Amino acid sequence: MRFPVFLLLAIFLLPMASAEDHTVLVSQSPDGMSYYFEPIILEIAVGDNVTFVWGNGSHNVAQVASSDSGIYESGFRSGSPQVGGNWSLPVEYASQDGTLYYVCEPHIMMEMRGTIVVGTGKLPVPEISMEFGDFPWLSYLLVFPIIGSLWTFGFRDSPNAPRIIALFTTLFTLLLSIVVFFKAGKESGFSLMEEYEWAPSFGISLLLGVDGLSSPMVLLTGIIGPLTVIFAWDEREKPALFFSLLLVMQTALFGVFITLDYFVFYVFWEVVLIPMFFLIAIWGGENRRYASIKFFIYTFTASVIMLVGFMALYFETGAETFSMIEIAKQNGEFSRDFQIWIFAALFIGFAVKVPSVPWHTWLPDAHVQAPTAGSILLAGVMLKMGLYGLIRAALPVVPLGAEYFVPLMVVLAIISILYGAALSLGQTDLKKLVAYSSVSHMGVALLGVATMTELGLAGAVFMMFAHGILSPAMFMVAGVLYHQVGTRDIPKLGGLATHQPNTAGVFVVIFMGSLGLPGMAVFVAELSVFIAFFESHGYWLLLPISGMVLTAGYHLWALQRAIFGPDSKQIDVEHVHEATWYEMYPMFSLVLVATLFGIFPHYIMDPITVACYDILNFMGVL
Amino acid sequence: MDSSVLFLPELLLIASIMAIPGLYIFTENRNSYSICSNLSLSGALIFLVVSWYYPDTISMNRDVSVYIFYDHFKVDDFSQLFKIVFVLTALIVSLVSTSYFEENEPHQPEYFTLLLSSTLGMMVTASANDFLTIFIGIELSAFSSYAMVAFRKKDDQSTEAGAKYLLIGAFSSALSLYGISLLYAITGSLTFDGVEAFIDGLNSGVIEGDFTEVIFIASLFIMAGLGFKIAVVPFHAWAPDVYQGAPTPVTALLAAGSKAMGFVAVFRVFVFVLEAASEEWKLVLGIIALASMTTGNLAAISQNDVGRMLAYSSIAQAGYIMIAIPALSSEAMSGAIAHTLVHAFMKGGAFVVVGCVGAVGLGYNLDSYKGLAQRSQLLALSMTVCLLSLVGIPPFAGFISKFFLFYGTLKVGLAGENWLIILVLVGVLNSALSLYYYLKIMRYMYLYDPESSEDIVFPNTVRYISFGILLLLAVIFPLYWESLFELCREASAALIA
Repeated sequence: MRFPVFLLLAIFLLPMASAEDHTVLVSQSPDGMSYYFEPIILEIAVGDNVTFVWGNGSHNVAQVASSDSGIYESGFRSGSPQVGGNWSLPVEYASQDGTLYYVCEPHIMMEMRGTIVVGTGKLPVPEISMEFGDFPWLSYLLVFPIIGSLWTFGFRDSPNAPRIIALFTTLFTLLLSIVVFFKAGKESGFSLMEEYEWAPSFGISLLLGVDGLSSPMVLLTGIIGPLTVIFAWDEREKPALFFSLLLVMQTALFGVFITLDYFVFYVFWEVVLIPMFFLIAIWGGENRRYASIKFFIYTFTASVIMLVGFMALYFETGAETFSMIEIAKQNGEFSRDFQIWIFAALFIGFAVKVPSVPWHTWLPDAHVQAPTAGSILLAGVMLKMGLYGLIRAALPVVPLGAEYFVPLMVVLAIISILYGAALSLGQTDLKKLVAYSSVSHMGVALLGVATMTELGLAGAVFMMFAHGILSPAMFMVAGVLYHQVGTRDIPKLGGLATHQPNTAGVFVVIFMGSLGLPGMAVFVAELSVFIAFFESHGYWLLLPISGMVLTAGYHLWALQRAIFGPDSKQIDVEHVHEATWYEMYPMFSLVLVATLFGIFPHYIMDPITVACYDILNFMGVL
Repeated sequence: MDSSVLFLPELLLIASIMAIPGLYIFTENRNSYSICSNLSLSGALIFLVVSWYYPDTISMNRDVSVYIFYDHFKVDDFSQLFKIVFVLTALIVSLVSTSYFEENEPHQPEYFTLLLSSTLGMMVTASANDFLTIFIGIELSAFSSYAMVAFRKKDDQSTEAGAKYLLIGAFSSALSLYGISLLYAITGSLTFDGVEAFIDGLNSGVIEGDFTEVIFIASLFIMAGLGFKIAVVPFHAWAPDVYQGAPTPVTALLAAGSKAMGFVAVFRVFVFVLEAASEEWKLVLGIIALASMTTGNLAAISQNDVGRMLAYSSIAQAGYIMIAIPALSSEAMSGAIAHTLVHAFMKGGAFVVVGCVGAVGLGYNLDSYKGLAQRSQLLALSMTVCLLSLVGIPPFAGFISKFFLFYGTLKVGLAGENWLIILVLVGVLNSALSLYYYLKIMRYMYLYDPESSEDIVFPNTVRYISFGILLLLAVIFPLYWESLFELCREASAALIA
């Protein structure tokens, strides 16, 4: 009887007994020639106690960030230099794996420094919670638009059936995406996960999951879907093909946002190009042939470079898996040079999609030539793929590479903001103006990413969402004007407000929202990004924030010239009327959504912040 | 059961080669030739597929190679996989040819006889186990196709192409024959195993003597001879003229079947036999690959004739496949095999559409593709999928096979042979470059109105075949690519073993 009790006792007491005590001597040689900690490198297990014992001289102990840094920033500190006595390390510092560097502040010039290696010496990889759902919500998101698209094709000769089917399908996916958004919730980690094996010998599987980063994007794609269909209600040219391409596009966009496997991510990323190419090429403006080919080649070239980066990551981990989570877990193993090369490759792929100056030249062409529905999807959702990819697929995996390129990203972002705004100011074509304003707005988002802080990242993602709501609305304005008067040339317009007062009112609200009026979504995003940038870069903030003056300038100036003022002689103002229902509803819904999330940003900001915290935690920045 | 039952597919073809001239004597019905040819090809296809999936029924063991005809003929996974491709290609060509010919086109029985004997040559090449058999196979296939290229005697382009092809083909055969004779002179053996054993012996010091230079020169000659068959730079100059001049079904056979046959020979000779020969080899093959990709894609950009453009594109595709050969790993080889297979389907599919558009009288120029989408949604879609597949855009079959190819090569490259990484990078950038001219065809099909408003009816056979290829490239291969790769892995294991 006694033996089991003894065993039980031993088991319970073992953890306590295993907490060993270590001492570090803090001292100097009597002749004052050498100053040292003894031992210099102390290896302890997790949970051990460390006591510093003072020998000769006046010293203190202060933690520093690395083995060559000499300035105490944060962490433990024994206080001001003292003579004799002892001080024990607070237990929380030895409670997890990691390497602690410390110095004696008065004798930093004498290289009096030491190291404590706790456990394995590496920071533990943060746990990612992965919750597999019991109902395949995410696969339904992928499958429904495809079914709708095939269904549409069955009614090629009917003028009405395709649009009704498309509206029905997109409304249904909107419902699904709202459900997914709420199911994803505000918790950290991925939820609703699903996994389907595709090519197990390569480690490729259809791994789906949403977190706070992807759920707003899913919601955005869901919202934009039916609005695009309604706005294109009057499409007379090959409606079946048109709507089925829109639906294929929606599937591909959902795919990009919910997949967690590099390979499948790349597949969806490229599939997006095909329907967009045809949308621009068949239903586009006069110069559509040039624009569609430029768009396709430009983005394809960038993304094959990205694919090489993905493959290098895959081979470097050697884990025989393309899962983003598994590869990100190994980011500590990658050498700094490798990370820099990979980040460069991925950044080229993503920056072209963002688009950041100097890779933005495809965007104005594509936008101006695309039909309005195409522009809506392009500006509303497709541009978000770039930054989403950067945050999801590049930052957590190659943190050192990202850190290396922070100055470049900041410079590119500021140039994008200023140059984009300045170009918008100079445009006479309303659609081109909106296209360049996208460059400027996405520059703000890139700036947020480049701060590498929680607030900045969250602001960037919120900007993606807000811009995804308001820039389609801006394109709708351009589309409505073009339908009614046959031109988008701002100098030719004028005096429309008196003939369509209600529509003009909506136009004004949309323009105000896009320029960053408080109370609408864009303002929240810009504010968070700029606060974060001020915290990380100080008064450099004056540069990007001066872009906001230009932004207000081109919005207001365009509005004043195009909508207000005396009746224009160059267009037939008498025939201008209120926008039709299928134009009005989408614009009005977008205004509603933008205002809703402008006043209650936390609905979206909360999950985003949690996800951004996770990502930064993973990068080891926090 | 005797293992020579495995020769049954070839026997079926031989029987039908003999039967078609006989039919000509008995009947005037022009359909009888094509029916006979289709039947024998389908029979061979069914036999090959059944023996692949149910090897027990013919008491075959797929794990070991089977030798027949005094070891001249080797049946293994590698040979069977490619035989399936050859027979399938020939079947497609045979089906399409009927709708391509005019009602009273002369010499039809000869055409089908030649088609079958060309296929037979390819199958012999796939199974060859020594240099003599492989030479006979290649020549059998080549001589039949010379005649097929020049099939329309009254057409200047066709005869010119035939003459060119014959002269260059004969020259290349002479080159490889000379290379083979050199190898025979030093090794005293014609079988692959014998030559390989000799080179192994040289490397391990069992056989004394310095034959490096002779072996190098011999392989150079063999490479030159085979290089003509697969049309890689600098042996590519014949391809554009011949592809443009030949009747389009024949071009499809050349681009899909004959090219794959060239690769089968290259794989057998270079991967199996000369694997251990020398390091310089890899470099030479790498440079050939690099030059082919770049030259092919650059030259294709400025072409106006679709057949010619696709000819240059197939030079570039040969370059992609070549980058796997210096890598020499089993995975890179299976990638190369996969891309060769998929290339046969996508190039074949593209030429089926080209042939059909030409046969209904629209012509072969880029302009004749204007508004094809309005004339036939299906043909335009099938062509689009074939072209996107050739670029390597996901999710189509060309992307996954190209991915497999680059994957295997990159793996070897990262494991130490760093110069292979450059090959892969150039390959990837070339894919982006090639997008331009493929998009050009798509642009003509979708973005322009037809030049004439006449109503054109496309033959049903072509529509069905296009639909089948579309399904294969866009749905079946992408969904079940794991099983495709399984096939290619088995084939490459059989090749390297």
